Amino acid sequence: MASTLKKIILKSCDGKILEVEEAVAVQSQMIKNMIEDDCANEEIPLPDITGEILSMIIEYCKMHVDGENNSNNELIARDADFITRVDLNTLYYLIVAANFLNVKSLLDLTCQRVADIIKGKSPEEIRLTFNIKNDFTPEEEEEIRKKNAWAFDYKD
Amino acid sequence: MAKQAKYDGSLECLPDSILCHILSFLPTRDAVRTSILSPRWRYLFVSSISELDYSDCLPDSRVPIEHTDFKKFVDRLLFNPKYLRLECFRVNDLWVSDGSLDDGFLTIYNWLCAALWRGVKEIDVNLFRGDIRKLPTLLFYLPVTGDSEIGYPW
Repeated sequence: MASTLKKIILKSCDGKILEVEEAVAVQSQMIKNMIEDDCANEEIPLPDITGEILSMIIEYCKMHVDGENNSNNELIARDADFITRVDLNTLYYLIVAANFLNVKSLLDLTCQRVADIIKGKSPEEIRLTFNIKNDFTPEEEEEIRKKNAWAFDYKD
Repeated sequence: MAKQAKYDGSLECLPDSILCHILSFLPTRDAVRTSILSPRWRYLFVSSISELDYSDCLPDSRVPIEHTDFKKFVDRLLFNPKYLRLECFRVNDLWVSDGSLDDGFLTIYNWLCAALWRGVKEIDVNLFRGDIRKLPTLLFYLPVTGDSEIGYPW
């Protein structure tokens, strides 16, 4: 069908224009809805998504469209390869963009990646890794620790 | 002029709903441990728990728990349902019967009632010492209804 060759034009917040095949673009539920509502005939501006992040998302979506006939294990391996190349800072932007564009599998993949980094770390290590400022007083912290000692007393 | 994205690239900039989604990929124990990170994280884990499985939470589920704080944790979770998104609840009675058998059984009975009340879809209960006939009657309707549309047990 001719419609499958249709190109969708996306514009990043830093002015980069990307032409994407419709089959790739509809991996984003948001864009899919726009196409169905006939609102995707002109370029779609994407505030808050830079060209760099947008290219990565398109690469991911393309990988999933191209790999449709591959086995599940192959896709998992490709996902793993994709996500391990992403540094922490880029990961946050990917999460925000995947959430905005509603690419569920990418949102899950990126959130899973952050969870993997959190897993097994002590609260101090987590704060350090993610630059989280601790606003608790030592007394408050002690109280929370005591309340759920079963979770904190555990040694891996 | 090129516009910059408004996020400054830190975990703290993500909205609560996404942080909860991240926590949902963690084992319950790790998720609960994030409650100490900062005041913002204090209760985020509550909405992230979709499955409460005693064997995941406590290292050796065959040993009756000494951690009364864990019992209180489950109490707080089940009896303060505002943010609870629990779908699956797994429990056995060896795990709570640290004192008299009746005390442990009563704990389980109350938890199951609370879980049913909250519309938990999947309940897995293993009784080693208690009497299955004493479980909440409504529990036996679960496979029939098979979803969260459960009426009030009383």
